[in-house]
Amino acid sequence: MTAGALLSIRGLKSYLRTPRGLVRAVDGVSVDLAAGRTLGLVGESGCGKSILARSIMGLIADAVLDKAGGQILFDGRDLRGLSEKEMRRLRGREIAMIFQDPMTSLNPVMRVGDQIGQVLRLHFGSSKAEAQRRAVELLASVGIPSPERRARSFPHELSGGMRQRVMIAIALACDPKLLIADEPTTALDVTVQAQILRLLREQREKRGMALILITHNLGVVAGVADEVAVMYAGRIVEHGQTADLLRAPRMPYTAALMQSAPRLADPPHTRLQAIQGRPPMLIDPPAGCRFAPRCTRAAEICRREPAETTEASGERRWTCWRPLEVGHA
Amino acid sequence: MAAKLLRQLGALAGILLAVSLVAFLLMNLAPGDPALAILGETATVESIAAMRARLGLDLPLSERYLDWLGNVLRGDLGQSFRANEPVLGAILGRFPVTLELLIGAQVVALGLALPVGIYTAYRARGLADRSALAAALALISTPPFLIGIILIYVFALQINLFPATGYVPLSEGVWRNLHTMLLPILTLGLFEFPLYMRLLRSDMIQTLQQNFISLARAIGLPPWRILLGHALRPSSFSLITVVGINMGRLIGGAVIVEVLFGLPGIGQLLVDGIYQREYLVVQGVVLFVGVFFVLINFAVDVLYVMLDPRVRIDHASR
Amino acid sequence: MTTQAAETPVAAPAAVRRSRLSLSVSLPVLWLGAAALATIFSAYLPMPDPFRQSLLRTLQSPSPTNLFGTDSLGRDVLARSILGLRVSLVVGLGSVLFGFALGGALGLVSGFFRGRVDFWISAAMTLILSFPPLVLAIAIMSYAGPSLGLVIFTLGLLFVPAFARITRANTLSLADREFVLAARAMGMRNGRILLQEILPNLVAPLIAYGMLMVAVAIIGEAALSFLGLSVPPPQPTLGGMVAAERANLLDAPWAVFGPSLFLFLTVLSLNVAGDQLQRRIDQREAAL
Repeated sequence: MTAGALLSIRGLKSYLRTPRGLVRAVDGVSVDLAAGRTLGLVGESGCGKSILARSIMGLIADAVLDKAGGQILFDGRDLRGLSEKEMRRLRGREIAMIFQDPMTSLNPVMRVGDQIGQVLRLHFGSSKAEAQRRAVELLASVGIPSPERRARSFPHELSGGMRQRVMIAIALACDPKLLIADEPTTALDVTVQAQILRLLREQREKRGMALILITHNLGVVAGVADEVAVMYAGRIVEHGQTADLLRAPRMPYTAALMQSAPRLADPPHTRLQAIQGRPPMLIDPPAGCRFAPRCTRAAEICRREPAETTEASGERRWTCWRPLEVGHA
Repeated sequence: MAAKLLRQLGALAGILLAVSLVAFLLMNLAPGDPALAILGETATVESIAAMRARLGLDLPLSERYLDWLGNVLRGDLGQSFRANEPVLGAILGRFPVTLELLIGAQVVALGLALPVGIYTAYRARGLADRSALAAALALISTPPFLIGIILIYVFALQINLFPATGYVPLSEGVWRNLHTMLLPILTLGLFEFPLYMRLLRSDMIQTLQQNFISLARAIGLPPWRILLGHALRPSSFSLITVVGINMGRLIGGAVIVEVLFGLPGIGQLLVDGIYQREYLVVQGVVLFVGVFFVLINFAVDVLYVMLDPRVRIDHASR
Repeated sequence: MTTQAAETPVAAPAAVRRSRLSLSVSLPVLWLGAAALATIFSAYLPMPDPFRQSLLRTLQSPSPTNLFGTDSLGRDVLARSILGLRVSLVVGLGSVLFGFALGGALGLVSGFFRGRVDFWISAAMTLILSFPPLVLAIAIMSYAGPSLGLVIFTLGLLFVPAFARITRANTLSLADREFVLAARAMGMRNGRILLQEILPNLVAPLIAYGMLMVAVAIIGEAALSFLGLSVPPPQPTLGGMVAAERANLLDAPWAVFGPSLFLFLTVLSLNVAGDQLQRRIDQREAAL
């Protein structure tokens, strides 16, 4: 794969221990991301995107997570082999994360400026005054008007879009090499969604960091991501440069996602209408291709045996027995 | 904001009035003749009549209440018969002992409940958590006098570290005072500790599942800073409320502890008043404790608003 | 076949949980059952007369004849503890039933009719809550004189606000649920709706809560009897026994710790059993 990739995930398996059994939330994922590039990670809810993100961050408690195999190579180090203490030094400083729900992801009883400042004080040992000054700068750089005043606000005094900007400011505070944005616009108003996406793109370009943009919405990915990985039932089923993949999806699931893709103008949480059925339970996944039970093109072999991955030029891959012909969509 | 405060003050006045009515009615509706009870079986008819007049028992009930309330508002709770001192003076003279007991018990209970509650929430379902919960359940199942007796048996009778009973006032030295107060304070503190610990633990477990805790972890904060810096404050609102309300509730436990350890507080005054049939003393203590309790609860309500920025804003915008 | 593989990790912990649960339920139930039987049939137990004093045999240490030793008047501590436990159980159960009956009725009426009735009932509840509970109980007992009925009434009164509040809140939420609306739509009368539709749904949580409250009531009775404000002598009470014998704590700890042990085990059993029942209800509701 790409030499000198910033992030290289190899055969990653993250299983979760739950009262109902072992959930194979991430079940053999391989993906590379070069410095300064943007990867769109797309799939329905419950497909394992968020667990993949939290696996990279090391945010899943040991009591729950079964590290069933694979590597997460970041800057040449395997994150799975690091101690919790070493991971803490990385989190917020080299890898930062933005969460889905800005309404509940900020500490409700802490002033916004202090929440940004504490990252700087933690990782850079900044003084209180210095951290406060930088916090105001960061608030200004993410487009928050009158940042001095806003730094003294509590989260509930800000709108959802403002809070998401604050969360981005927290994530950018230490100039991370990799930013993971987990559904950063899902909970926001339509008009605000586009602003936040533009902000993420600008900041990525300005800082030259890599970005993983997790979304269920292919429309979001189109304008922002360099490459796209489509995830289904714990696995990546199709991967390619954004333009290539959107022009000619090979995996029927991707095609179905595209047909049902909510446009930015749709209200959040609009159901994906075009795909019948629900994603499989990952406690006991289907034996063959995991999409077969819902796939209109499924044949005997799809239900019996896991599909093989086909590689094409230009980092183009799909995992399907009966791929669509080019030019289908 | 001002209108709301005014409404609250109105409600407060209503409750205080009701408290005074209860204290008044307790004495005046009780079966038997208080005059007879005070004077004893050997009293003559004339002396009983005189005592009834002195107590105002010959007037109609509503008139007696208004008279009594007027006196109370002027700070006159009557005279005790045996000691022949003003009831209010007796109460105020003994209240500091009770207050020291209450505050000391709160410090002990919180001093134990904070670390234990935080740690057990952090390591919920672990061995330490389960042991602490079992110990809390055992303490909740132990009446306060039994906690005290066990402490006396161990620390006063077996290893002779502290006196079993007796009291030295603060004015004779802090250490000598604490020497006599430590076991009573510990008794009452252990009695409320499990309540605080379980409350903090369960609120903290809920807070630790919040999204902003995920964010705190995602920026690389170590566990102890997440627990103390982020999770504790949002988890402690109901604890603070309960601690405040308990300042008043605990007076019940303080009565037992004062009797057990022979401390001259208002609990002891109440019980002595009952044994000696000093009805005015009993009435005075009941009224005083009721007013104290209501005022504490009111203060807790007001303070709570100042504590949580979300509630603060909600109130301000109303 | 495939499901079996997936379920294996669940089966083991579930079995462990079940056995632990049964132990933490069966032991308390065993103790409470034994306590109830012993106090009901105490007259038939092969034990010394709990009231017979023997000044030659005061403060005797435990022996085969006096398993818990004797007190400062030479009476058998075990026999007296069993009689004292009878008071604890009768007062605990009686006061909670009284508080439940009155509080439940008030809460049901309050939540169902709302409006003005609701206001006056909640005002009355505020009044009871305006005193520290134990102080109010001490005050009532001291003015009205100690007796079994009055202890039950006084402690029961302290439970009324809590029972009323719970019943009211449940009634409010249940009154708007579909099945009650359906009953109303079918033209059922208010009283019948209360009895047939709302009350049955409240029973299980009230029993769990009631057990915890019996534990509180027993501690309350112990505190009152410790102060000499519960059932009058010669009837022994556990708190009264502790108060009377605590002067001899060093010479005859059994006379104090004997009744204390009964008190502790009974309250602990109620708390454990109540907690477990509560947890099962929570689980069942989470499953719904």
